[in-house]
Order: sequence, then C-alpha cells, then structure tokens
Amino acid sequence: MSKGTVSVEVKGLNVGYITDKGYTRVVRNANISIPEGKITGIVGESGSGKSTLANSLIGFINPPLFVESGSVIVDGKYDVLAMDPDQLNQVRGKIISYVPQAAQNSLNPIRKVKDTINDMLRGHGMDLSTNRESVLKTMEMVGLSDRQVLDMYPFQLSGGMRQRVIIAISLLLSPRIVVMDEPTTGLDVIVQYDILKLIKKLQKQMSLTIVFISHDIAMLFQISDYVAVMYGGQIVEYGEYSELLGNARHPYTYLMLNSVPTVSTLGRKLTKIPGEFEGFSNYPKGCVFSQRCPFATPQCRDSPPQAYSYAGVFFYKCSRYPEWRDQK
Amino acid sequence: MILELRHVYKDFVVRKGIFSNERRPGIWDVNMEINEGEIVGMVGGSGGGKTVIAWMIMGLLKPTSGEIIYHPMNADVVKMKGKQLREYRSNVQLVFQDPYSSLDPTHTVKWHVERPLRVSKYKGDLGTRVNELLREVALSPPEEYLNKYPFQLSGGQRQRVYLARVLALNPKVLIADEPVSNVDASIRVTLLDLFKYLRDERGISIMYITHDIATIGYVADRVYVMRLGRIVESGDVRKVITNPENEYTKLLVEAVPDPYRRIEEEGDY
Amino acid sequence: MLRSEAKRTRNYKYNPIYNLLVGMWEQRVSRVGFFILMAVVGFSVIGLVYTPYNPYATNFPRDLPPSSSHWLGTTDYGQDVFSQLISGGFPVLGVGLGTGLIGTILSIIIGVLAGLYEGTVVDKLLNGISQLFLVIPGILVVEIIGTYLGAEQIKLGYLAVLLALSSTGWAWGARVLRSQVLTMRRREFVMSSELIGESKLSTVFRQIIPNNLPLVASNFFFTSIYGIAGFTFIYYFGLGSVNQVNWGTMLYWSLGGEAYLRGLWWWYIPPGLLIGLVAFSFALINMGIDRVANPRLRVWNVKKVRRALQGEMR
Repeated sequence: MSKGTVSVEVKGLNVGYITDKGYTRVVRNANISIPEGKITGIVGESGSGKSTLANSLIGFINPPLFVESGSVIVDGKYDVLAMDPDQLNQVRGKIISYVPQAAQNSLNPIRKVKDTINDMLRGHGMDLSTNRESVLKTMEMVGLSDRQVLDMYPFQLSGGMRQRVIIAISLLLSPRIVVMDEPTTGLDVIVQYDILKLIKKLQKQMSLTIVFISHDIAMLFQISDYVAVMYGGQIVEYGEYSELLGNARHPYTYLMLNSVPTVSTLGRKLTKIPGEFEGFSNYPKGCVFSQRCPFATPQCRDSPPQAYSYAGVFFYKCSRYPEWRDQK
Repeated sequence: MILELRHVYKDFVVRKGIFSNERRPGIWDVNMEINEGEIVGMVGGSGGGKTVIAWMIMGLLKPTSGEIIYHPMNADVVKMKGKQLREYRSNVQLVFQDPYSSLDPTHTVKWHVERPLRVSKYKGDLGTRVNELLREVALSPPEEYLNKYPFQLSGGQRQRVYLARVLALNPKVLIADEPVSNVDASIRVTLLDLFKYLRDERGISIMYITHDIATIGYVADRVYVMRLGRIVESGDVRKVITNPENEYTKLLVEAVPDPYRRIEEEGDY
Repeated sequence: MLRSEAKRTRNYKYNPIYNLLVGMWEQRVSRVGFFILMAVVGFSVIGLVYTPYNPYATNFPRDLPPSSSHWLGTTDYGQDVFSQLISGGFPVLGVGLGTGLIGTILSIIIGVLAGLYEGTVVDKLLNGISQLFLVIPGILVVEIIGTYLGAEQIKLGYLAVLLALSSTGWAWGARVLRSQVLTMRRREFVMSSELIGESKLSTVFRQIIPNNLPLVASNFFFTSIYGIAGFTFIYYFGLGSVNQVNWGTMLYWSLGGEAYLRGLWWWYIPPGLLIGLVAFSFALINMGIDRVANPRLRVWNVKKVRRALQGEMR
C-alpha cells in the first residue's frame, strides 16, 4: 500500500469491562492504522472484541467500559479517548460518525423520521428547516427519494429502509470517516445485498473512509479493501483483501475463509475449527489461537507471537508462517 | 413420505388503519413433502412465510385451509389436540433460531436435557441417558457441561444443548428454523455436520429453514424456494443452485455472501 | 492474567433466589436499606421482651420532656413514651410484612390463574375482581369488618387489620403477574417446554416465577409499604382498636392530646419517624432490586477498578 494518509491511528489500546467481580480486559494491545478513503473491514466472532474496539474509535467509553491504556487519534489530530463530552460532540457527526449495531432498533419509535433528524441537527446547533435541501439530498443519495419518508414513523418503514435512514443520518454533517457496526445484521439477505451496494456507492461518491465491522467474513470480503481479523481481543492479521484471500498469513484467517459455504464452492469440503474460544478469564499463555490451531506447536502455546509487519502497515501475529502453509 | 403439506393456505388479518403499511404475506397453496432420511431445505427472504409454515407443522398455528398429514400416525396435524397432539410432538420437534432465547436462564444444562426424559416417562437411568445425549451432540465430556447455566455457554454450545433436549424425545422429524444464523462462523460447520450425522446415523428427517442458499447447498438434498408465501421453485439442491430457473432464486443466489465475488458499485437503484 | 480475572473462573452455584440476594447485598442502596430495616426490627424485637416501664401504665407525671428517667418523656396521659415506642413497633412491622407476604401469595395465585386461562371466563372473572379491588380502599373494608364484628374487634385487633389489608393489597401485583405470564408464554424457552410436553403448572412454577423473581420480590416490598401505610392510616384515624399500643395509636392519641399545639414533640415525632424510616428502607431495598434486575441501572465504581489495576501493575 502506498503511504496514503492515515485516517484513524490506534496505538497500544487496551480496553475492558467492569463487572460485578472486578475487571476483564477485552481488547489487548491493539495497533492499527486505518487508511483514508478506503473501506477497512474488521471481522471477528462474538467475544473477539470488535464491538469494543469500534466503540473506542468514536469515544463511546462510558462505564462499564473502561480504557486501560492506549490512544485513538482520529484525522491526525483528535485524541478521542482524552476528550471531554463537549469536545467529542464537535468531532462526532462532523469528522467521524457511527452507524450502530442492530440499527433497525436505534430509531426512536415514537418520533417521526424528520423529528429524529431535527434532534440530531439541533445537537450541533443546526436545524432541519434551514438545511432542508442538504437533508433531502442526503436522503436521495441513500436511495430514499420519496420525501414522504420524512413524515413516517419507524414502524411504517421496512428494515432496509430504516437502515438507509440511519445511514443518511450518519452522513448529514458530511463526516469524513464512518464507523459501521454490523449494519446489515437482522436484514434479509437480498436487502443486505442492496445495502452493501449502497455503501460501496456512497464511499466512492463521497470519498469516505469506512470502518466496517461484522462477524460475516464472506460479506466483509466482498466489500472491503483492507481487512483486519480479530480473535480473542487481538488483531491477529491485517492486510489487503486479495492477499488474505489467496495467501493468508494467519491460520485463523485461512480456516475461517474455508469454513464458509458458498455458491462458488458448492460441493467442496469445508474446514472445521475445533473447540471454542475459552473466554477472557481463561486467557491462554501463548498465542491466543493456539488452543484451536491445527498447526500449533508447543512453542506456540508457550509464548505469544510478536506482530510481523510487511508492506509498511500490514501485519500478522503468527510465528509459524510460512511453515504452516505447507501443512494444510 | 413422512410429512406432507397439501394445499395449505394461511390468511392474515391486516389492520387497515391510518398507519398501516405492514403486508404480511398469506401462505398460498403450499404443497411440500418430507421423506424419510432426507434433509429438505426451505429458503427465502424474510417475510416469505417460512417460519409460519414451521409453526403450522408444529401445530402452534392453524392454517386457513389445507392439510398437514403425518403419515406414521395417519392423521392431520390441523385436527389434532390433547393426547394425539402430544404424541405427534414427541415425534416432530422444532429447533428455534435464537440460541440466546431458547434456553431458560435459570436452569442448568442437566435440567434442560432431563426434563423431556421425565415428561416422556423414560424408563432407564436418567443420568446415563443425559450423558449419552450430550456426547451425541459433541458436548464432551458431558460432566463438564451438566451444571453449567446458559449464560456460561456460547451460542454454538447453547444450540447443541437445545438439540440434545429435543433429541431426548427421539423424534423422527426435526424442523430447524435458521439454526446457525446466530452462531459463530467457526462452529457453524460443526453444527451443519451434526445435522448430516442425524440424518445418516439416526435416520432423522430434517427440514432446514434459512435465507442463506449457500448453506442449503452444503447441507440439504432437496430445496423449496419460498417467496411471499408461495413456492416459486423446488427440486434437487445442486440443480436449483447452479441452474436456477426462477428470477427470485437467481436473486438469492446472487445476493448470498461469497468472499470470492466482489461487490462493485452498480448504477442507480 | 490479571488477578481480578482469575477470581471469576470458579464454578459457582447459581440459584435465582441466591443470586437476587447477593445482588441486593452488593448494591449499596439496598444494603443501606437492609441495615436500616434491621435496626428498626432489632429495636422492636427488644421491645417484645423488655420495656423500661409498662407501656400501658398511666401513673407517671404527664407531659414530661425527655429526661434520664424517661428517655422520650411522657404523654399527656402519663405514659412513658419510650416504652410505648419500643413495644409498639412489632405490630406495625408484623402487619406490614404480613400484608406483603399474604398479598404477594394472593397475587401470584390470582395472576397466574388469570394468565394461564387467558381469554376464558376464569380470566375475565379474575380480571374483573382485580379491578374491583384496586378501587376499594382497605380502610373501608376495615370499617365494615369493624362495625360487623363489634365487640369482637378488640380481641381480633391486629388480625382484622391484617386481613383487611391483605385482602385489598393483592390486586396490583396480580395484574402485573398476569401480564408477565402472558408475555412469558410467548418466549421461546417457555414455548419449548410446551412442545416438550410440560404441564402448564410446571412451567409456571419452574420457569415463569423464577425468571421473574425480582418482580415478585419487588411486589412483596411494595405491598409491605402498603401494609405499613394502611396500618398507620387505620390507627391514626381511630378506625382500629385504640386501646392497643403501637406507633399508629401513639399518633392517634397525640393528636387527641393536642401534642402538636402544645409542643410535645417527643410524643409524635419518634413514632412518625420510625414509620417513615421503615417505609424508606423498603423503598431503598426496592431500588436495589431494580438495579439487580436491570444491569443498565447499576452504578459502577470506576475509581475502585482503577486503583485495583494500578495496584496490580506495581
């Protein structure tokens, strides 16, 4: 990758949750440089820490979330984790905005769409009446050209339309970076397809930097330029999508890609990944994936691998690459 | 043939108020069959009526017209009640979609698997049978799981506990409604292979319901494609996926996520 | 691995009742409420076996302010206030908590029956009765019972009040429980039991109630507050047997003895204060229950965690 601008720089991030019994660290020593003007996908299963990481990017760090250490620098100058609520309000929506998880339920059910938009604009000292043109333009861009949508309540809209409304709201103030956390969960597979096409179109038209978080690795690879794979709170691999597809450096990436049934691989045998992630209270001593990795050696289980970088910003955390590829 | 749906219709009352825009599709002239020892897929987008059909098969909903014949008992599910319905339900069971709400948070794994045995008056050692069932769904060693509560288990484990619970009744047919969509990707294959095992080794017929046509391609033998309450295409799974005839089927095949097919920006829509 | 993480790994016994109690203990709000309640209960229990003087005795000098021989002074009728206070608590607490207990049991029975037989005549009937009882005030029932029993009332006394209050305090809880039963029957883990072949009764007592324990507990405390308030109301207005000694009658007699006008604060403030304290403790406990049931309401101690982490890093 050429040395483009870095949109979001995460350094040494350790975040966890306060529980009844103390504190559990979830995101462990995350370092990643998210490039500008591209779609970066972050994939991970439940318990991988991807949502915690997403929340940290926008500064949603209220208890029980707890930031132990590290920094998140947005757009080269905003230290999101150190800002107070007023400063954050200046940044959120304008520089970096957020499309939440299960977005269909994030719209206030007893307020019309236009009222929700008004609420959001007022939070930044603006108004729907004075910005009507730009709001309508944004709505058209997300495929909601029917102005009647503004006067509707969320329950009158389909899941796909609600998602489009949420996306429109996140784009109202023309942010440069958009963090999308599972924006297609719960949607019909065909509606999901439409939304993915929409996201791709918006990214090109508005030159957005998109951080796309999902557990669906197949979907993520269809749309992302760069992919970061998370497991057990760590980013175990980060690289260009085509590299990971053909020549994944980390066994987890490879195994995951080959465990998805696809239409183009009909009839092929799928790989199984034995075991499950044991949880953060039983964190392994060595490599976080070693308990389930079919290529693991005693050394893997003993000491955690360092991050091996290549092409400048890409990296992987496996001490057995490229040897394990001969074994598969 | 074990289970047969003949000309099943289901109408829904839609409230025509000021705000009403909700169109719930009626089920229209559905004819399906589930044979012994096969996995039949039902695939389609949401709102296509798949769950409604599943509930009608289970006797939780009554169709407006049509018959659902369970051949081993030579009876119509629609007309069953009381003792007959209970007997039917010990032979045909439902696997819910969401493993996070299908188990009671206040009871252990042991309780969940033991109850069906008690209710069906199992004559044998309960403890041994519970362990056997847990081993069958690949929750080994069983002792490790017996006293765990649902919140201590992952989605995949919960789904397997639920399967053990259902298998305790020795059903002949399983209706599985999106059983792996809320389960981590890395254990999905394990669960899918488990369904295949149940078909091959236990002779259980399975109706697998999902919106993901690629999963159907991996696990099912035949498939019905549903759209807005109607069957638009059916047949051998391989053929339907590689050579879809209906426009909707083609759309399903195109929309299913596939890491090897990039989505590039298309024109206006 | 952090030490704080290691603590959580043990296989602990999970019982909904135990968990609720532990949760209530951990929330500071309910812990404080519990201590206040225990203090008052302890005080009243002592009064069962010991009082400085006979609470009924009227041979002391009247209207004495607090002193070393009469810690809370005397009433206008020559009685020792402190003796009355310490012995007058048990009836209040007994009837209050008794109302809570009986009322909650009644709401469970009626609410569950209505919920299980939804839509049938049984449900409609029970629902109608609940609505009726929501409207009738408990004191009216006491008056009716009192008038009907006449002289008997002196013997029954507290029992009559208890019956009157419990028979009117269940209605709200029954309605809430009924709607909970209706909701839960559509939850997947309850439907699964129906498909397995469990009986309705088994589902109610094994699944629906344990899953709604905070609701039932909260109902208990709520109804107990009603019991205490009702008790006070009844005796304060002289509707109960006024010759008994309890905090309610103390307020009644102090009103009659013009304590407010004559500044005899030691006579009416202590009982009023203690009644309020008990009700307050119940309210605090209820707040704690709310927080256990809904983790989003919980209060997190961030400083404690920060300090613990810094301690471990050193």
